[in-house]
Amino acid sequence: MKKLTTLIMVGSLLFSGCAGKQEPIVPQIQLVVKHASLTIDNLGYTAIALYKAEQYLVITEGRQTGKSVDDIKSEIAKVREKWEPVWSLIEDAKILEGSIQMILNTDPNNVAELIRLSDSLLKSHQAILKQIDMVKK
Amino acid sequence: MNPEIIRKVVEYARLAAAINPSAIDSLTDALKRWAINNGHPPDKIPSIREAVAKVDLEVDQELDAPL
Repeated sequence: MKKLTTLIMVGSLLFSGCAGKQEPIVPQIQLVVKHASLTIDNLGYTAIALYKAEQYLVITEGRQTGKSVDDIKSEIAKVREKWEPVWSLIEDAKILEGSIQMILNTDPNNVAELIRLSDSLLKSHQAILKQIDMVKK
Repeated sequence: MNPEIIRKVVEYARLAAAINPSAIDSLTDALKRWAINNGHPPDKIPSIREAVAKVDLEVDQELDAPL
């Protein structure tokens, strides 16, 4: 969460401080993308840990209450389905991150597109956090 | 080189890059060169889908294991 806040702060600084200046924006966008990469990875690790713990909880509780293996498998399938949107959002964020990196490498003066994509990237982080919060047990 | 160590070094390189954006390329390039020169290409950091598949496999094995 702290990393996301930092990311948003860096992003806000980027968007508010660079209007009309094209040169300084590229290293700042690079910084945002690198922060974003770390944040996406960290969100992914957290989500995976929660996802794993939730499935183990289903197994443990199922065994303790004498449920059949088929019933436990059915509950685990529901857990997996519930988490699916989180993985899709993380993948989308990684694609966005890759797109920004590609523009930085090939067309770094396309500032409008870089800002648009960076803004989308920040929003995608918020969406991932929201989705994790919704699905976690 | 132990893939876990490579992952850690890449992680530190990224943290360093957060402070100095130009650091990440030189650090990761140096790491890759070192690993390749020593016959150990850096292990790919798994994508989220690979990580999910790994967890699912582990859980399936746990569920199918005899009590």
